[in-house]
Amino acid sequence: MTIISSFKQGLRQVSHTKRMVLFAWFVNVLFALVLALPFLNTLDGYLRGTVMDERLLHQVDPAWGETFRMDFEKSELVRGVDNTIFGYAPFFSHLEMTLNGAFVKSIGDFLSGLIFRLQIASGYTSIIILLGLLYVGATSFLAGGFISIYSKDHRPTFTEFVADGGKYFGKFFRLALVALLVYYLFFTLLVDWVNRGIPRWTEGAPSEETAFLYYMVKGIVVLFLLSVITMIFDYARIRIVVDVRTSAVFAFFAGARFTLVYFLRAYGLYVLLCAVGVVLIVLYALLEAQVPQDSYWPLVIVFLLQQVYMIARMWLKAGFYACQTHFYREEAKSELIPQSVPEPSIAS
Amino acid sequence: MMKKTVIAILEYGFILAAMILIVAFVGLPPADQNAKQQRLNPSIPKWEQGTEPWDKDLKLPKQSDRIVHYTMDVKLDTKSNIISGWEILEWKNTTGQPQQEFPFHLYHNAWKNNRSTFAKESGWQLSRPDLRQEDYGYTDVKSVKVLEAKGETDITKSFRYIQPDDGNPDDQTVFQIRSPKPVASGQSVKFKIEFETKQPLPISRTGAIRNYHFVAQWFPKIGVWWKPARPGGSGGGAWNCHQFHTTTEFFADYGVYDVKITVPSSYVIGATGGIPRSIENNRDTTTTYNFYQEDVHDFAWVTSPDLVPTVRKFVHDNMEPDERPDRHHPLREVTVIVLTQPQHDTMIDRYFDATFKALRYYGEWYGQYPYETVTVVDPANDSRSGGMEYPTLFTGGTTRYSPKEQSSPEGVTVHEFGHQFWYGLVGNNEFEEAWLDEGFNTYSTDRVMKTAWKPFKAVQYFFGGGGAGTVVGIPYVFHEIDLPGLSPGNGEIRRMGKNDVMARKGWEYNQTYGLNSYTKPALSLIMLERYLGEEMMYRVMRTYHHRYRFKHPTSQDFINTVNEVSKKDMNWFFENTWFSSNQFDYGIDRIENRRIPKPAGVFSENGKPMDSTQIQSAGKEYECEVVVKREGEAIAPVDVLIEFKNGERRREQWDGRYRWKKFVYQSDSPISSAIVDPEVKLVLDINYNNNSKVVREEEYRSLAARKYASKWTFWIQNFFEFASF
Repeated sequence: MTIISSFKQGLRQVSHTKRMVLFAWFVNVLFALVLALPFLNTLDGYLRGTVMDERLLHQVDPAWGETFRMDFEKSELVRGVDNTIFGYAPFFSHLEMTLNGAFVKSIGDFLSGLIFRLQIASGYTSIIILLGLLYVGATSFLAGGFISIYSKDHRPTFTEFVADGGKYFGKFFRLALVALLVYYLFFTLLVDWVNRGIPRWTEGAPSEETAFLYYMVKGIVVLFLLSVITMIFDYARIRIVVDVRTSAVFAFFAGARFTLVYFLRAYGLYVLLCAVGVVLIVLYALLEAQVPQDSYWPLVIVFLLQQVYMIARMWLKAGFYACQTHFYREEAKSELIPQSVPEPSIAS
Repeated sequence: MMKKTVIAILEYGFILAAMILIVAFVGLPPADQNAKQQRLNPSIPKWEQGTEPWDKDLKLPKQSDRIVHYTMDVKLDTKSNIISGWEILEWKNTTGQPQQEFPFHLYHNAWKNNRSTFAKESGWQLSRPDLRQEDYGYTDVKSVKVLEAKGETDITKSFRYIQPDDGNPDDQTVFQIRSPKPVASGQSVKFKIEFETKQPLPISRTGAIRNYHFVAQWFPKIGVWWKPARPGGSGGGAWNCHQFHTTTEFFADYGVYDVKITVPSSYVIGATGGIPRSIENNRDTTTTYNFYQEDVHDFAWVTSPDLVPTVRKFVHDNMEPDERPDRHHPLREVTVIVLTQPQHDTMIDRYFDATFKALRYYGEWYGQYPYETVTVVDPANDSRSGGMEYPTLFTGGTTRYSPKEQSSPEGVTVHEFGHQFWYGLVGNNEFEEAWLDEGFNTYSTDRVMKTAWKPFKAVQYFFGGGGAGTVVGIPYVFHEIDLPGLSPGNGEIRRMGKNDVMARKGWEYNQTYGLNSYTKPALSLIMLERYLGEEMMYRVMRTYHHRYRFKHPTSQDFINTVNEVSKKDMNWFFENTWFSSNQFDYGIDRIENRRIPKPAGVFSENGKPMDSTQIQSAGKEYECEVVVKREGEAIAPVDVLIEFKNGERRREQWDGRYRWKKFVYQSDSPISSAIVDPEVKLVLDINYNNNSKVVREEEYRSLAARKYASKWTFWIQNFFEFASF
């Protein structure tokens, strides 16, 4: 089975699941609006009665931004907004956060605070972390639906998609918790250690190039390892569905085994899909930069462009599930997948 | 089914157990952890020198009083980082009275141990963890002699450390000696001091790291006999020789420096004075350079085999044709020497460009740069010597990843060059009135940056972090966001402005040295400029610079200059800014438009009842009012601009004294908007958002709010997708 044929076949399958992709986008928008609408409300109330309203439409004013943040200094929602909302900076910002495990560590810290100190951190961090956790749950639901319908040979219905999402939700959510543990260990033990180390290791360097190279190499290595771990969990999900597994933990090991046995091709497929993601980002960045955002219709156009991008991103996400499921099924069909990690035998 | 349930329960148990183990192993995180480049500003004044009466009498002094004359001969041992040698100081008594005791600075003793005043003020440490014994620095005075025609007298025994600021007995940054007999007024005395200075690992501004030696505040330097700085001071004069503090800078008399420095021949050297008068190659693979500079008040040097020297000439007449319109004061040629780190080869042109622009604008606005050379030093990584000024030499700082949209090294280069004017040529007491150099220079830097370049952009570095003494990463340029420069709504002033009155000694602030030395005075000068007008401000600043070049002016000298040149009493301005911690915050409280009703009820005239239809109304449909309020304690006169729906505009003036002021109008049209301080004269206003109110229809929705909220929505949408696993 070639990478390309899995890629083609997977994307063909996605084209039959447009409603499901739109549903995934709708869920994403819904979660974002929980944070965005209160922000819009605050900003609208703050600006509408001033002449700054007009000025800010044409020119970003960092000094005004500082005043705004200070006037709402107790609102973590407002404090969280910074320059990275502009242009294609969100992608840089989020990739950096991903590479440093900001979200995973926040969730880990949030949960450990909750469990071990009986303390709920208040404010924006908690809101976004809680929403993030819920979104992880939603993703588990959607992943179950997507992988299940892509593992079938007939054209799926939306009802099937929702039903299968519900069917696999428990297993996938458990797998997400396992993923949280693995990522948390990865970031706190390895990535944080490297991040703390680089300033020390490069302290006496005569040139900043040394530190720059350290960070870039670190970034590439972390990106690679992270992609491998992500891929392992993708195949773990697939094996839960295709192999009809119950244990999330053993599915993780099974996913790892499959990934390692078929590493080159599995990773090739993964990189190919990531490349599509990069192309989408570049396209978005190029188009967004062309629109002068200082009047009503251009703003509408940019908003639509953003949502088109998000739909494309959801389409790609479904593409990951479809292509990898197809790849796994083809490999499983062509040879017996080693079952050296058997499910535990418990009497029923 | 049972099997599945058991597996599920077991797995949840496993996950919980794993979490406990991980947290126990990793540790619970604390709860709170977590261009054409030249774009001339058309409003810059363009007078020819001498064409207006006020300018005719302005003459720059040809030289300083030259109270001191230092002759030095020192050698740097690059293995031990020790500079050893001697200085002969000839000091001219211009105090008007005999002097017998002489205080000297010995700044390197700030890094001698963790008990110095510098260390104490830094929290009992020297801001470098794990300093080894050989990393500390010091200056050891070996002997002090008075040189006279008939011979020399050893006065080393009179040497004693003094602590005029805080009495800290462990601080050895100031010493005092006593001459055998008083030095009469108008006479001179010559001291010969042998000393040894051990360079520390750089802690603050100076030191040695790897093979880079930045040498500043390194020799015994005599204090200044000076009159008190503040109005209402005791008068009469006294020695002014402060200890070395964490925040403060320096103060010394003008004079001549004739310095011989011996370093390994393979080392490149730069120093005050620029081009050496002589270079001697010694037999022991060392070279001795002789630097000479008149009319400066300090001497600094740098040496390293890695420095890459580039020399170009600043020629005022070589400006591009479109730069000429602002050329109203011809300036002298200056040799500019740029010493860069090897990895910053791509920054050489940017250093020169910024230095040339600064030479031009500072020269044209305040008076020409008088020295033959200026040396720009690109500091070594982690040398902590960047962004600092010394006479005819200053340090910049940048990284090789700085995109052209980022003002690095331009910003720091213009600022540190600018100190040649505000600190170097006008030598205020930096210990006691730091705003007179840092604030004036921040104001001037802002003007040069806005005049000479298109706005620089906000830049953020991703995928990197700290290392090699700097911050590295992949730069992202926010093309939508111009760097704001100095503008109203300054958050630092709003947060900490009330901590201190600006006019205080540099080491006596409650965490506001930066705010009160840089930001607030600079904003206050912009505010002054907007109250006086650009032309008048130009006159004030030029007059002040001409009058006090090579002198030690005080705040009062500047205030007097402002009042005299502007022919206005601006004391209210300084009382509310420099001598107050009060904050400015003017705003529009409310706008009300009321329809004037038709007359109804009982009316009478001379006791006779009248029909209400006979009552004459003013013929206006609306009674409109605007209430302007003062929320801050600081007071300034402000303008209020009121706009009516029919396009009519009214401009009102308010002295700003009482808490509020109401303006009432009868008009055919309702008010549509009101702005207090529409020209943004009051740049110290801590909240400009409340300066305006616009009457909106109920259904009006802010488009700007939608613009930013949609960007935030997109950010969140992507965040969730990146974050999900």
